[in-house]
Amino acid sequence: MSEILYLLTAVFGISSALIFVLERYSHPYLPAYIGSGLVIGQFIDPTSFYSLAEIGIAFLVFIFGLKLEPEKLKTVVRESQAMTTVQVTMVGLLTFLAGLMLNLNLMDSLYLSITTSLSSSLIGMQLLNKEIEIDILHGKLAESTQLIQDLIAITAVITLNAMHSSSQTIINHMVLGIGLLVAAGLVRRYLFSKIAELIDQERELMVLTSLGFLTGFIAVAQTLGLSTVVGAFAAGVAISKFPYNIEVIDTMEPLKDFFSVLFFVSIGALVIFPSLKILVIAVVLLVISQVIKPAVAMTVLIAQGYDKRTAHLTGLNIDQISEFSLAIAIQAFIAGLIGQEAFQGIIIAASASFLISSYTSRHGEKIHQKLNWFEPFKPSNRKVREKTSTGDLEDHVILVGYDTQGELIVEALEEEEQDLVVIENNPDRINDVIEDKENYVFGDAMDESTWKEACYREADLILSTVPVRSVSEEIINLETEADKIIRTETMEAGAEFVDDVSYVEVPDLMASERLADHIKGVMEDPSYKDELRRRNLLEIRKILNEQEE
Amino acid sequence: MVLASGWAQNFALIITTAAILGTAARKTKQPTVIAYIFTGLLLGPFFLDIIVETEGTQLLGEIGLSFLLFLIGVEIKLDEIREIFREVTFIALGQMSVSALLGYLTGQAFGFTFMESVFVAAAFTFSSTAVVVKLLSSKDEISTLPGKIGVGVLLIQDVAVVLILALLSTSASTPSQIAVSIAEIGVMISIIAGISYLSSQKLLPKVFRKVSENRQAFFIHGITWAFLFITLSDSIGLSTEIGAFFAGLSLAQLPYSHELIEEIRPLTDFFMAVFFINIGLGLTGNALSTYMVEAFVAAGILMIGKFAVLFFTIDRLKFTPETSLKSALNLSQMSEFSLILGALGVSKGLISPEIFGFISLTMIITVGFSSYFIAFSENFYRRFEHVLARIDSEAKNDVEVEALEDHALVIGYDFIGRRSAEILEDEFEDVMVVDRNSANVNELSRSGYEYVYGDFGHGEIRNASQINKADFVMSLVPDFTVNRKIVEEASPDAAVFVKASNLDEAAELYDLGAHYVIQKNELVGEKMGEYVKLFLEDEELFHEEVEKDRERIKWGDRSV
Repeated sequence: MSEILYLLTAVFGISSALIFVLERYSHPYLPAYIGSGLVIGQFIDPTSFYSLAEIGIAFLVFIFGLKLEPEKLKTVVRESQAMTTVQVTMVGLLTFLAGLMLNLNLMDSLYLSITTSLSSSLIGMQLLNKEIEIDILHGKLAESTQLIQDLIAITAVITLNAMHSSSQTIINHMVLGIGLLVAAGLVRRYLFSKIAELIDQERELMVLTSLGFLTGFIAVAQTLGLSTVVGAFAAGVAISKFPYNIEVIDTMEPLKDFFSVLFFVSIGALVIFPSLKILVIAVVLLVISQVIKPAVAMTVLIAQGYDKRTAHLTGLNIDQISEFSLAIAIQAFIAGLIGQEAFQGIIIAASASFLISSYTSRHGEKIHQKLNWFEPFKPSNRKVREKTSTGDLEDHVILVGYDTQGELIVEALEEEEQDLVVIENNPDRINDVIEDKENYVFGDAMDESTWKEACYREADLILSTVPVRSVSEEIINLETEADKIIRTETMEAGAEFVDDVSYVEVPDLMASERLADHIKGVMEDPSYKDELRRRNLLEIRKILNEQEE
Repeated sequence: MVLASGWAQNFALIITTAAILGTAARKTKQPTVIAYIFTGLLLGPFFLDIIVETEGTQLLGEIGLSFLLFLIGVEIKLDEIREIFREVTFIALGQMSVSALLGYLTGQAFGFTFMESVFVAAAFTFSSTAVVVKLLSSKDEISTLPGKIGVGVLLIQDVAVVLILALLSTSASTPSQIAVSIAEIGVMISIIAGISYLSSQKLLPKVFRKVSENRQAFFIHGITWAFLFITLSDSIGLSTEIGAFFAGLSLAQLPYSHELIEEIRPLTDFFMAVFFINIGLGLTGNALSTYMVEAFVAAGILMIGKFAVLFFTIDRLKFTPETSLKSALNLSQMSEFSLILGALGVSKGLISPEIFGFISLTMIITVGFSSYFIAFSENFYRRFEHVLARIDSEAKNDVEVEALEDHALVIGYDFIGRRSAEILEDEFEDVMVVDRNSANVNELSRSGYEYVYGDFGHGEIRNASQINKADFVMSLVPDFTVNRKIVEEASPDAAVFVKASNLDEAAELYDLGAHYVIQKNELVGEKMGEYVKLFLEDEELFHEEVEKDRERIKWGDRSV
């Protein structure tokens, strides 16, 4: 008992200390865990970490499966199909060849190519720092491509596992693996809702049930001779029925955090002092995943017609090595499928890539600016013009961002019979704009070509509902006689710009003023609140009915 | 530690069975603790004998107990206990001595030896921390008065348990050696308690202040803290539970402790389940059956005896009969520590396995029955209300925390919350602000508002805010489920303003009784629409209108 205790204390203690330091710089924590693993690995025999690592993997992959929503697949996948296919194939092939050239065997090279061609939905999503970003095009593209890659990863795991058995049973393995996933899918569709209703949100039971599923599927997988990863993933898929999966994720979050730490620490502990060959492998992996992979993605996207900014930011978002690959690699190493050199190379490359990619994401804008000159071919901006429909406009109003607020503003404008152009880069919202028969430019507000299309010089008023600083600055810098109204999240941010524009919309301020009126009303007159309620309820019912028609 | 092959299968079997039995228990409104013990009984040597208590399950169970004590430590805000500390000590000491005596006599009556009777006495003395805390917190009753009394008494008992456990672990036999051991243990406990206290004053606020906004970091630091203490106490020869307890205690004094409690609850739930399953797994038919009749009798004596002692003692202290009844009910069972004590006793050759079986069975019986009593304590009270009314008197009053009434409640202290609270302060005597952002802690602590740090989604926080007595409730929290609860739990006479993210949510909230649903986007959009129209109609006028706003934004907005 004591030895486990000391181990765990050491693990968490060092991780804690490292996190404490990193907190100041808002770093991602993964390198800290790996770091503490490095330290601990000097004192404790790494093999004692295998089991911990296994459990950690199971949890991580479980959460992967949980977050996967097969329904979303169809729509989300479509966004980046082309780009992902090209990227995965090219990068994978390149790495495979590189592996062979470095004198590694087939299996090793295969695993190397998996490592570079897949990027991480876990980390990738964490690094998309604002929630707004998911709505924005590059966020969606990144999410889509990562999803596809998760699927590829799991298929690869099943296949590779099967491959190392004799040829007779390869087919068996594949069939079993797929069978397990199908079973999970069936459970998900038919069984799980009933179970979830039984549990009825009792947190304690939810923990037990989820764990029961997890261990159950893993047990089945092990009995069938499949790897733990497949079992854990299948378990996650089985429970991934929305909205229950959110509750499960919430409940399991602490457990997952706990075991993630153990997982990454184990990785660090397994690192040995690298030989030259290992370093070379690591560098090759890094170059391919940090440089070549994003480059390929960017090029494909630009060729497809997306604007440069979207292409660049998407590329930068997928430039990391997935922890999924790490999980797969450890499994393979423990099972003796790949050699020490390949394994070590992967670990080192992965750790480095976590760090690097957190930087590239955070400084995405700057990198994009620097890359602007890089034009292997003239971008057609087809996607921008493809959905654009503007005539030659004058004295019009340009509206940036078509969310709820935007719609209300448009309604007000319609009464005035003013020409309007909407700039929006969210594909869903653009569809709304088209339906409402407004002029629009589908493109990035940061990109000059977009503004040109919107004829900004001739506009009367530019109104932005996007509270993003860079957008506001871009607008302020536009040379035009138009009045400008921008939006900021906070009063402080507003104060910076208030002299440069005609008006700054600070939502909090406006909302609280309106609200204050209502509060005073309630306090002065006891019947005010009931009247307020009645009025608004009618209003909302009316709108909802209209929406249904 | 290398995992035995097939660990997944065993584990899966245990957990799935526990899940199934647990769900069955829930559906039939039984406490889940029983289900877990049954799981162990079912799968273990008692019944099907499929699973054997392994090192793995034992380890998990022990970790679970430590985590539970950690959780208990975190839940104990010393300030709150301070009010009733004197009373609690009195109750605890009284109860422990009488129970011990009762136990000893019972043992003698059954013809046990001196040593065996002593063990029975020790077993009788303590109440079950695991069961009480678990059940009370799942009913959100830890911060009620009976809850506090229960936790306080358990706290004092824990100190005694710690002493006894430590004593048993040593090889002291003569009275002087025992005295020395006690002294040593006393010193070590003081050291740990001292470190715990000092760090809670100096170190922890600094460490946790920075990270409390990041959930993951917060969690890791909390776990680390627990582990540090656990290892510390293990290395100086005390049991790990003590360390965990003090680790929790030191964290309890921070305002963010609620968050931590909720974070580790799933972990703790899980480990506790394993703990109780383990108990079931460790019981063999033989050991249990030898003294089965005696066990039932002993269980009866214990429950009735403890209840009586507790009830009359608490009643003596002039608490209301309701409090006395519930507190007494909560504590009338045998502690899981008796198992630990018993196991130690067997390993030292002080008692036989059959006696251990007797103790275990008694414990299971009392825990079983007691779980029902605790779960249904309210019904119990109703049943005997008129009987109790007879012993009620004017003098009896609960030492209550001051309760708020007719107050204004603001949940969430963002920009809008801040402005609203200012306005509400003019009209309402008491304004309570509940907020979970650590960045606001300083400002709110110094303000004139009643301040509760925490997440309004948690039942305990809602109870503490007395939402059902508030006259005005405003929620700026974006969480739909929370807002729904708010509308439901607020008084029908109160004005209720809640937030919603979309029209469907808003409609539902209105239906449930909300008076105004705050949809920021709508508010802003309307206002902006007006401004834009103005611009297009009369640009001059527009610029005049917005000038006031511009000034405000420019010069920052400090007060209304």
